[in-house]
Amino acid sequence: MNIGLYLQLLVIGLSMGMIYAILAMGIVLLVRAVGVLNFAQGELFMLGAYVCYALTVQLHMPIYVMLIVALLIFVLFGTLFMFAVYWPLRNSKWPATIIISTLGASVVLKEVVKLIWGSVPVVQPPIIKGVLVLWGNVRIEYQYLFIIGIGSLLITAVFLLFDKLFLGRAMQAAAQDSYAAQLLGIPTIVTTALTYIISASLVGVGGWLVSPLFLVSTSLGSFLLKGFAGMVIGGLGDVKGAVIGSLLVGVIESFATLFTATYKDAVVFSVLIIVLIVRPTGFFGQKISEKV
Amino acid sequence: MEKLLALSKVNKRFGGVVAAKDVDMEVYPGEIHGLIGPNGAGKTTMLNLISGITPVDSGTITFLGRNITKMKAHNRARMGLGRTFQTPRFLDRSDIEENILLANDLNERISFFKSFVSPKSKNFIPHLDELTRVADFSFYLEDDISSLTYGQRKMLEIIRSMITNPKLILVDEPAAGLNNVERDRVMTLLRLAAHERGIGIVLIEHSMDMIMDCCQNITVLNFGEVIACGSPQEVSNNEAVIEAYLGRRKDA
Amino acid sequence: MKRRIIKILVVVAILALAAVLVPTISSHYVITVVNGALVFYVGCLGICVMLGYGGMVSFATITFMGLGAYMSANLSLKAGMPFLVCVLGSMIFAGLCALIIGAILLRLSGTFFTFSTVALVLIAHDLFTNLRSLTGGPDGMGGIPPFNIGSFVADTAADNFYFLFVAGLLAALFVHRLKYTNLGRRLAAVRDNEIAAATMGVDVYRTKVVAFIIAGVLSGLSGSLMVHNYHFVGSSSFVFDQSTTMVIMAMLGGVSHPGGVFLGTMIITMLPEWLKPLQEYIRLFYGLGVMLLMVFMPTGLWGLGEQLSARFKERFHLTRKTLIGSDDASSEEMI
Repeated sequence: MNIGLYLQLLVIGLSMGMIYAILAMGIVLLVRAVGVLNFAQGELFMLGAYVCYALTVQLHMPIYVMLIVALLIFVLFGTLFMFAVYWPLRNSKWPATIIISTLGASVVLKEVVKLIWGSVPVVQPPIIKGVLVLWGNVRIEYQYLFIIGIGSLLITAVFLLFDKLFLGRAMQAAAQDSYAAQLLGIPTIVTTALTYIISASLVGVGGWLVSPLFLVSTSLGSFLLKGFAGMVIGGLGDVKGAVIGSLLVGVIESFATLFTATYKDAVVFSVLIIVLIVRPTGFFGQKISEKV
Repeated sequence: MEKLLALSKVNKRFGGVVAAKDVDMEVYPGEIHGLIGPNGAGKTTMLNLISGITPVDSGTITFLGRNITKMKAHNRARMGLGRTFQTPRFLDRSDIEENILLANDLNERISFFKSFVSPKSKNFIPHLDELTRVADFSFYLEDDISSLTYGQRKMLEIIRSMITNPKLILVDEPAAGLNNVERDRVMTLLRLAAHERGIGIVLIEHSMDMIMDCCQNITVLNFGEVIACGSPQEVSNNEAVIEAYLGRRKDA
Repeated sequence: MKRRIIKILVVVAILALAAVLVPTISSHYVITVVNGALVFYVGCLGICVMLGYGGMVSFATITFMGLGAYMSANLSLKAGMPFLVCVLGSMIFAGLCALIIGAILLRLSGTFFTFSTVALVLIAHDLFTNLRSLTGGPDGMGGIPPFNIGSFVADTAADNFYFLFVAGLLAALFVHRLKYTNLGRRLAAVRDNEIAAATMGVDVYRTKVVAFIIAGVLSGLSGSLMVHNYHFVGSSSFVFDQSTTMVIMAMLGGVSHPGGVFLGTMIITMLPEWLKPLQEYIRLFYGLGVMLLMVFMPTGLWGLGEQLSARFKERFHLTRKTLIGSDDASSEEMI
């Protein structure tokens, strides 16, 4: 009985962890490429859920068409977002301006969504219906397994692209350093835009994955905070760390419900703060030092 | 004479790169000590180690007879260890007065409450004026840092450091990007600091003329190692030094 | 010197005028709105110290307001303390919490510190909602006594205004003066260049923590004023959204000057009143406004005003400057 319960909690925790990991990776990519913490990432995630809801439920698109159209929209969002929030501010004398601007963008996105879809949450049917019955009343919805599957695929893809393949590393280098960009012959604007596009698409897909589990509403944006927590626990600016940290956050959160429902979030963020006290750079982070 | 600064067997690695290997060095009051070497020899790293911006891996650094190896950068600064940078570092969003006042705080050391009652000290102005005249330029105290030319900023950075009333100043390429006139003024400033005030100076500079002209002693670094140390004559006749410089030229 | 005295006199005159006019000629409703703005103004001054002077984006303001508010509510309701003791208790309590929390969170730099303050706001909100015995949870605590000193008790909104006006003015004067102290300079140094700051003998970490404590004390004061102004405190006041609104207030007016922060606080508080028919779009405007502001006026309205006045003074040679260095060189540069 207990083992069954723990198994269920583990699966739920891991699948939520996957969602947080997708969010965290989206942030890490931007942090590494342009050094900006994007507070609107959660709203891009929420927007992903709404776009997929609109395409499947309101426009009745079959899943494959829907995915392609949605990806195109995410690409557009990524590009627009970069030009609205990052590009005009990249040389600003005030480093805080970009953070505040992403904060403004998050408010704007939330309000736009409210104007289009109203503030009443909407329901997205599961992508894969059905329940896996292991034994007795130990049941796991397929949706969770689907999230774990797709999540692992996305994480592997991003990991390969940015940490192993030359192209990805070159892209990140080029976005940071115009000299490297010159060597590669790619304008910084292209590499930066690509990073934003990949980041926006990632979280958009994340929004699609999570939408059937929760009501689709503007409060989906708050998932970002868990992704942040995962990223900081894992290590600042490290893809592998962000993924492991996020999975940890998902599992901790899931098992915390055994003891307390009201302090679920507080438990996660307390773990975060404890990690910060013990290891300010997270588990996989290395100290980033400024060149003098 | 009493040693001002002494490095003993100082080591520093960045991953696989050796930035300092068993470096020994001594600086005396009133001495301009040149620190030279080919690009990437670890000169700036050495200044960072001395000023405490980067921690050493092993070895000891002694300043004013005190072991400061583990001391934080700001405490070293409070002991009288000044520093200038290759590209001048100022408070970009404050005016010149604020920048100089920050240096003056290090000299005057007034308490917060006293500074709350009478915030802006004017005591530093005669001193600042004197030094600026030596460097032969002028500015308005209320202007922004950006109103100064690059050369003036480099000179003001040395002046700012002198306002803190230091015992030792680490000067990183003060003449880079300056014209000949400005370079002479920088040298005048440094000579004034060293010879009239007895401040020790560690000088990194690519211009050999300047090094040979104003240094009493020179330490030559190559790949983080001291390959020669001595007076300008001794160093310029040293086989290893000639090889390090000319050898490089052959490779290039 | 003469001009300085004139400037001070003008400011004093405006303030005196406001102090007399607002409570006498405004409607009860307007005074209530202004009172609310003044409460938040004190908290926003903390943002001025952190962000404007020290360059640190912190969302913790609202949490320390919460700590101050609950401290004040408990002191007055359960211990029956007079207003002044409550305020002092709130400020000290918020300051102590800021010391402990700041010492932990400020080990992180830049954006990661910012995020950790977001986490703090979420944890604190959870605690405020669930520690019912101390906070009353979502239902809150009511019946908190009004402002009072000795036998004088503030019964009307106009009376409240005087208390808030004095508190806001004192806090603003303190923050204004702070900028020109050695601590203010150290903060500017930390904001502009941490490495240069360290080589100028500035203990970067300590300076940041001190700024965090000052912001915490101001927020604690603001929270205390809040409960005595509204006679009520509930956990829904201390949410992350409110924190972003406060940062937006400060940025809009000009975060590096108490006057700018005042402008921003007033505008954002008044805006919903003026734009009643557009209520639905108001947050959209905030968001868009902030994004545009960051691109075109990162120093806010006050910064814009300062730029214009500097240009005006330059044009008509009204600035008196201190010349440093040789006169010859300056004439050389004039050409």
